[in-house]
Amino acid sequence: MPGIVELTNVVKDYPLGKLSVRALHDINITIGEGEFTAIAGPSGSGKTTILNMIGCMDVPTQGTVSIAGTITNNLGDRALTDLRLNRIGFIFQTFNLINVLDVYQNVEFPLLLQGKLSGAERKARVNAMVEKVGLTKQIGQRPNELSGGQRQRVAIARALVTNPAIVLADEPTANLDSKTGHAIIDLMSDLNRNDKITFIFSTHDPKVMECATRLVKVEDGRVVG
Amino acid sequence: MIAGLMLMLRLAIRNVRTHMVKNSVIGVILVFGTFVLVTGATLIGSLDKVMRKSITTSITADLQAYDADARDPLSLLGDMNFGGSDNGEIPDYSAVQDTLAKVPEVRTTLPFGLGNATVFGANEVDRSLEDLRAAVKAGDQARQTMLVGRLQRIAGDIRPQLDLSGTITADQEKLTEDRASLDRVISADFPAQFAADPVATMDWMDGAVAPLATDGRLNYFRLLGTDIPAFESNFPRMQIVHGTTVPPGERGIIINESSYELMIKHPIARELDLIEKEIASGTEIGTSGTLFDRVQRMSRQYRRVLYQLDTEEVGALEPKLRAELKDDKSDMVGLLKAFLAVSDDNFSERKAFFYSDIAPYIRLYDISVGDTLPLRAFTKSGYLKSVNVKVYGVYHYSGVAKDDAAAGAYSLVDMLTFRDIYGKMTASQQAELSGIKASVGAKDLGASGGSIEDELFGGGGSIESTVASTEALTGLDSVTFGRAEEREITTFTQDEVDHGVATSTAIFLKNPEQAEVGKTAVEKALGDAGLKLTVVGWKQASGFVGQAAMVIQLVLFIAVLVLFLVAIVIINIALVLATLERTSEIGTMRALGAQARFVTWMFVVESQFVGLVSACIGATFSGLFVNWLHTVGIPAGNDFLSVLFGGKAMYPEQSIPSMILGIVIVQVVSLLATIYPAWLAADVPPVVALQGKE
Repeated sequence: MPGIVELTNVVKDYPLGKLSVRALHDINITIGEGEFTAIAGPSGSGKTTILNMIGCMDVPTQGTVSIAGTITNNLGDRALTDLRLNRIGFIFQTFNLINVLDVYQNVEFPLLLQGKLSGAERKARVNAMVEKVGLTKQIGQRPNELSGGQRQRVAIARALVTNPAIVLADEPTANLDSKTGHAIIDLMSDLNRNDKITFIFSTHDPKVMECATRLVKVEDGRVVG
Repeated sequence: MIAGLMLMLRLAIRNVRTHMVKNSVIGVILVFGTFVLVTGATLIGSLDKVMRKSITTSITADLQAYDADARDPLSLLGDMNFGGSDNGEIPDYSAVQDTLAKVPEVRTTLPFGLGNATVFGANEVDRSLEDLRAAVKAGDQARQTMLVGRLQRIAGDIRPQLDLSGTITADQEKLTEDRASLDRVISADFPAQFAADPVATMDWMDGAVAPLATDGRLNYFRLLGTDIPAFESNFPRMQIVHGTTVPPGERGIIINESSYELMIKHPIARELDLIEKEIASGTEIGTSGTLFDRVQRMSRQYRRVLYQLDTEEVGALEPKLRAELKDDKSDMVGLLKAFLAVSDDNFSERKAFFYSDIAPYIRLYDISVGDTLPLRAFTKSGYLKSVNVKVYGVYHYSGVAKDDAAAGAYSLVDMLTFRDIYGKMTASQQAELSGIKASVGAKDLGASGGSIEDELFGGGGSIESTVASTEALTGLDSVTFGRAEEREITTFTQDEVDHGVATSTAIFLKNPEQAEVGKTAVEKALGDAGLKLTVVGWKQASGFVGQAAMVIQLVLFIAVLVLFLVAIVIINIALVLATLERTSEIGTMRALGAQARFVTWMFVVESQFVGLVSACIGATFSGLFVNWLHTVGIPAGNDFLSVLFGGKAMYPEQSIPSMILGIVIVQVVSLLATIYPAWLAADVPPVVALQGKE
């Protein structure tokens, strides 16, 4: 059975003046639907580069990246953007909420970009998602009125509101204290378990790695385990 | 789609609030820019409107048509050639009139003929002799005595000047003769000599004494030949202020009031008026060298009063002047000199005294209604032509001060008089000439030089070339200066007015608001009729004055352009900085699935929102300001602006189109200022969302 994410012989070079630096060396990863996968490794190991490939924010120099059956190598900016919008949810290390919008509007934002749902459907979907992450009381608050954990919950709700095939999380607990971090990982784990959502997250925190159902270890741009 | 737009608007409003300081700076610039733009456009629109009304209802009509081959463009007001422009000619006005009568857009037309003429005013000896002849004819002994006394006083005043000129003249024989002539007039037995033979004495004075007096003033008239009754009914701002209009079918002139005040008024009275105007504008005789010199020159012109006074009048005026000046010793000359040496302290009293006590004894205006003017002008062919024309009245344009020189100052003459001065004969004159030629056996030799010479002098001989201006000089020799003999006023028919030369045609449209449509129709009709005429609107036809509005428009346009260029640069910089600040936010949006065009539009909507709010505030301020100006009026301040405003003040009116235009332009400016930052924002890669900070 093909994976929902397949990286085959992926190489990524970045130009550095007249030279080029190889960030990824012949990466082969297949992630199945519904997995809760941690990509682990020290800083500079290539975790974020792999997430960029999977998140359609970058394309490989060599090899192929397939996301939900679509090979991204030859896609243009518009197609990659559409793929991100409709198939991928993002959770960032620094939350990346839009400060001028409140909780409801932040969660609603990807739905508005999609433009598929009616106003009523959108409202129902947003409210349900906000309730799922436990922020119904804070729904009208702006990001600067929330704690770090609450902001990351908003980010999770925003990542899930479009029913994506994959949710990518780049060091989702790095900016949170350990208790809040675990609560966030537990939430993600629950959503994976209950709703069968595929989570792929990068981390260098051993406690977080323990929660993953699958672990991909990366070192110096290579998969090592 | 609507939800997406609402999102952008929501983002825009939120971002405006979040970046209040930056947006306030941009907003203030745009508010100011809109205020300047809308106010400027409204004022120019109002100026254009009042100018058009003022000028089209005074002189230009809606359109003017003139010779397409003219050397100079038509310039009815503010002629840069000082009346010497050559606007070509329309050989037969009736052809234009008949053609344009069939154009539905045209209401009516009028013939215009532009020209210049001069009138030499007689000197005071001439005038006194003229009065004396009338008194002799009437057998009025008392008046004869008074006038002889006046002539003796004038001769007494001229005598010392003659002695003075004797020191530099080479013709001592003539000087001795002149002295003897003046001494004869001054002598005590001159009244008796006059009584013995008045006619012979007056004839002798005409030849021997009158030439010794200072020449009379040369008055310069800008003439507009036209169908005067039709002119009056089609130019509603024209108003007769003295006398009447020229009756239909009669020759005559009505003088423009500004010419009347500035050229024909008694020089002392005119100087007092002008000095008063200078003082009213804040200039002081004591501190202004120019004004002081003006007063000095005026006091030296005391003879202009003295020569007009009879013995009896001197007797009446002298005690009043003594009382006014508190001077018991000086003679009349001394008194007048002292009286006219006005200062800041006594100017008002002296001026009032002049008009109440002196003016009744002198001629306040050189030319009066009912006089016959000997107009002199050089015709197109170079002849000096003299035409006597009766003064029927004085007119002005309503709303323009009577001494405003900038008002065009045309005096109106009938078309036949114009054509006389212009040098073109009417059909009847041509017929009369043909009759005379036929009766004397004259033969038209044509234009061929060789054949003319052969006809006149016989062929074969060598002919010396002649000076081209000989005819003109011959004409000049025949001129006698001074007041010409009156001649019988001839009448004419409307047909004669319409058939003949004109320099332009004034065209009145049924709908003046649609001048461009009318112009196109007129041009087509004239072209179809084979008439080679240039058709111009009021701005071009009025020349420099009419083009002033365009200059003002240009200045405003440049000011607004500079302002908006500054605004574009500032907005651009502010938005670029905002883009850099919001890189993470933009990267997040892109990572979440926002297309580059969404980011572009987000910036555009944001700047358009700021632009719209600012433009509405600026337009509202402008509306309130214009409303206030409409109530209080913008004073003209000077003669030139009075002409442009058509009165002493302009009352601008609100212009909704100007407001809309202002708002649209500000939106365009905001859009232009957003292009680069929006492009920069759209270029932010989504990957920065993974690198940036919240």
